[in-house]
Amino acid sequence: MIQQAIKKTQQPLVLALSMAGAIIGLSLLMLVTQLYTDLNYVQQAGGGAIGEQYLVIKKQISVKNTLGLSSTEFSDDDLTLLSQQSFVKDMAPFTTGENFQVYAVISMESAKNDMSTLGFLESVPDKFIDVDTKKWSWQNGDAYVPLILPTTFLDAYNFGLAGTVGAPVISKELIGGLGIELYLSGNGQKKMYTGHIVDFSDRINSALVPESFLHFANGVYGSGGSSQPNKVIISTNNTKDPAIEQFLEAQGWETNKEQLRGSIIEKLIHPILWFAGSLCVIIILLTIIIFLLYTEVLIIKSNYEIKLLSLLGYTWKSIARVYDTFFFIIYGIISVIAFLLFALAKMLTNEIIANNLLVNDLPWLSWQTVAVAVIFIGGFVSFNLISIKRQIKNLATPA
Amino acid sequence: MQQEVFDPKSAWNNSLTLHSEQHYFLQSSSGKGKSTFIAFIIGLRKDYNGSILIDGKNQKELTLNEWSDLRSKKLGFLAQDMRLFPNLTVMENLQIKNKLTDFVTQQEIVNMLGELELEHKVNQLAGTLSLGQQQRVALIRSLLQPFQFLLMDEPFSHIDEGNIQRALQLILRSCEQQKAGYLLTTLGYDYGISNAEKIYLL
Repeated sequence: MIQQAIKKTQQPLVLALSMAGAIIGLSLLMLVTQLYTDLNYVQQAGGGAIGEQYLVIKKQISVKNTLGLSSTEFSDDDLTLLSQQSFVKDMAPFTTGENFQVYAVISMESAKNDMSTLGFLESVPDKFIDVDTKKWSWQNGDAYVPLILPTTFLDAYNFGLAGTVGAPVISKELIGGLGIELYLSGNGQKKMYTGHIVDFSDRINSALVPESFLHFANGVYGSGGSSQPNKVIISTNNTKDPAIEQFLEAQGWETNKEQLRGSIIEKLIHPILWFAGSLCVIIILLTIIIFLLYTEVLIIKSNYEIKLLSLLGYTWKSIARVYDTFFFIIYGIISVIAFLLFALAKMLTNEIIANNLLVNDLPWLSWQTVAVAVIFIGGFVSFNLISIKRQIKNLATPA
Repeated sequence: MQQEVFDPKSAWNNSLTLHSEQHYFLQSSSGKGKSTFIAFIIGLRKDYNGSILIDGKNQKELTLNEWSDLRSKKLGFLAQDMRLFPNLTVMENLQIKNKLTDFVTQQEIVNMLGELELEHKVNQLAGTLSLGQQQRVALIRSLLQPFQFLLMDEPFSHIDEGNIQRALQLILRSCEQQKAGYLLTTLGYDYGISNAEKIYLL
């Protein structure tokens, strides 16, 4: 009955526009926050099998190396020097296969031809590998040899080879199910092992196998004569420590740090997201102001009715409740639509991230996104409720 | 019945006590402040000097909730300008008060409308009624609550003689049932109304 008494033209266009503003602002802000946390997640998952705290260091290649005047291998002195650096928490040289041949064949039923390539195997101590230890182990007699391949390998396959040979693109998960035939030969011996890709990494450009397998293979197929390593993996507390870059530059060494997705995310995407997030906050604040003005107009329009209801004996609370209910419904609609839009956009970004950054297990909703939504919806509600209360009390008070 | 008539200075600038169960007339010509006087008492305005005490309490100190309580349980009010909801029907205008107070039955409302010859206007929007009809609706509305005192500001200014008598009967009956008093302002007490015990002149 009270609702009927104070029902006024509610300027549907103004209301619809301010609702649209609130919906866009809120859903975008949620999306930006979610993207921010998603990309942090990607960054943490970062190098795939090799975590963010590890860097692979190698020597820069120059003409000298090609002419044989300089070595790409790390000498014992180099390794000692590196180990003395304050940023090095732990380090280990890569172990390489010693003069035996690796021939890999991948058979896929759906592809017209098998794919095969000459390859090589390397390993680092297991402690540098972020893969479930159950998956990352090998003992003589095991059916499978676990493999970690460079992420670029999958990209090259999906975005290059697959199209050229008419083979289907393949996801990170699916490729784990493929068996790779590894023909190892050397020392007068030859045998086939079945390899299984357990993960990918940004940090390497070779195929990694567990140390135990490489030691075994070197013993059986290798020709001995351990060579110096040409790659060293280090762990550090802060990969962005400027001392690392200075040291590497001085030594003429390098790391693939600049190509890391973490670094790109940090330098380019984070600032963009901050900027977008700030814009969303501004949009939302403007929408809150518009809503406050709208509420004021709505109440002023019912000035006569509100005063009359108060004169009849209705409490300000019972009158304010009519407006509170109306706006709660509006907030409800805004929240639901904003959430649906967010979910839709999240599906799209998930797909983009899965296709480009090869991370499939992104969380749907981070607590930060929920917090941002709660804070802003809460802000909306409380600002409006306070404004309604103030105005109704004002009208009900004797002049 | 004993009638007391007070001199012109008796209302403004003087102390005046209105007792419930007593009937008062406040009479003056136009522009002397009858409506203002009532607006002060019912809490529509507070731009006055001096003090108004209701049940011993200074009404300038009443909270909004106390005002709601007072207006729905103790003080009935009929405004000169009727103050109906123009976009609600006659019945809705009455129900909006009765829903708050839950004082009479739907049938009693219908009976009162019949008594003041408004039964055929039940579903008509209040804004489309004549002034006399609006005044009668407002009058019925003022009776749809418990009260100890009823304030009526020129309640019959738009009503014909026949309806004045019927309206007055309705008011007196309601006051009697509730053992309540009233204050009625009027330009002149020549309605044939002779049952006010005290008549103040402004």
